[in-house]
Amino acid sequence: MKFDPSIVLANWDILAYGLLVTLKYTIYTCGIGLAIGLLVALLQLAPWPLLRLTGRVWVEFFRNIPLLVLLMWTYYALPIFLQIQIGKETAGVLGLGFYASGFYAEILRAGVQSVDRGQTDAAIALGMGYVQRMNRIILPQALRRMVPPLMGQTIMQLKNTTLLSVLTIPDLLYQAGYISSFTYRPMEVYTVIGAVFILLLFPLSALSRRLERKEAA
Amino acid sequence: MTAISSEIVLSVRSIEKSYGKNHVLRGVDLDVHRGEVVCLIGASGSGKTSLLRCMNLLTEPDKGEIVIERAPLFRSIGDERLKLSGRQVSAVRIKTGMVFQSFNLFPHRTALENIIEAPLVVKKVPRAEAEAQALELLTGMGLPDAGHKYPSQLSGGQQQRVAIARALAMQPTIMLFDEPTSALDPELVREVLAAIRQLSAEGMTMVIVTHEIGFAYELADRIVFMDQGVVAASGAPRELLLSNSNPRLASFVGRFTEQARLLGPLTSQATAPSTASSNKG
Repeated sequence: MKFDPSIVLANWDILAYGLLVTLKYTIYTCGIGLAIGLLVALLQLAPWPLLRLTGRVWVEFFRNIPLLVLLMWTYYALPIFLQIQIGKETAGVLGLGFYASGFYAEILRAGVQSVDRGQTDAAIALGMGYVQRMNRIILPQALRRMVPPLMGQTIMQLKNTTLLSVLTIPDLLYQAGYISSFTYRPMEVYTVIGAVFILLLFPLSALSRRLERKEAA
Repeated sequence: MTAISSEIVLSVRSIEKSYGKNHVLRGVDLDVHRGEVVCLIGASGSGKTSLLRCMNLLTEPDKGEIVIERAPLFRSIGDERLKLSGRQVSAVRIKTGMVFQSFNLFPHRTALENIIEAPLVVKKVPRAEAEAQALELLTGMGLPDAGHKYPSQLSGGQQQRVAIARALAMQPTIMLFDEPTSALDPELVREVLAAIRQLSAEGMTMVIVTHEIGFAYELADRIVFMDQGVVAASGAPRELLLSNSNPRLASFVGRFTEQARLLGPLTSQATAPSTASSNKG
């Protein structure tokens, strides 16, 4: 059988729509993940044990549940538990966003804790309050170290959006299946999809690697 | 030695501190007078660093009382416990300036920015004024050109001198040094000790945790020997280091006097060649 990508390219508008959906969900779920992740990281860094435990439980739950199970559960089980209606879009954003929050929280927590304890000591001894210490001394140092792992997690997040296709959300992978269903050319379609993902993510990975090297220097 | 007034600048009373089952401070009393240099010596784990960190409440004691220039910083006696807000604690704490064993300069800030940071954000000093003062302090520390350099571009000795300048920028009444030369290469110790000596000459009140017994002997008005969480002995350097009243102190000091005795011949030999050459000439 001859490899003929023109069949795929003829349906480029369907793929373009899928790409937009993929990017949209990546941005939404990363946004939610970072926002909740920041909150959970702060919980984990709190001086009170109960708050720390809450943060810990959140992280462990979402880091240990398989993403596919979480998405299925959010879409099919959660509405029955809560007696509410949830659209597939909402279920997808919530599932993927909460999942990301567990990983982002760990990156943020570890970044803050990786700053030497002596930095806090020095800032306290100089009379700086909690917010001043965090904003001016701890976070500027922690953020630099967080950037490479945050980028790595964001790359994972983009790849994870492909699982949304099981909820029939028309992301890149779902659209590929659709094209394949009426062209009968899975070889071309899935090859092109794979290439699109790699072309999309390779620059991000390269950038992340560069930042990591810069950080190590 | 500069004049020591009878005024008490810092007073700690019945300080106790435990980490789990480890009772590191078991009721320590200490008064520091204005202009006085107190050196804390003792073996590792004797509680001297813990005591120093209690003095500015970097470590909170379990019990006892801390007063700096008549302002209470901490009090927990029996059921009575003084409640201070973070702001109130900070206001008393900044009467002290602390210098750490590992310098703890802010690596993302230049030397100058390290020094002006606290005056700027804590005391709200105008930037121009803070910078002028920082340059003056750097010059005083023998580092007039180091202002624009980052800590990673400075030697350990230079970093520690910047750290001293940073602490001085808050115009503290008392300086607390936590083993300021322990993390330094031997050849860099001298420049940091010189900076501390200079502060002493200017009449700064200081508490210094140190392993440099010779330095303590030379500079201190009073040496406090800590052992197993209490002040085991204290007094003027000469009397204290020579007294044999406390066997643990005697054995602690013994190691250093033994070292000095062994190195003694070196000092007499060092002067010999110069005499010989002057004879020739």
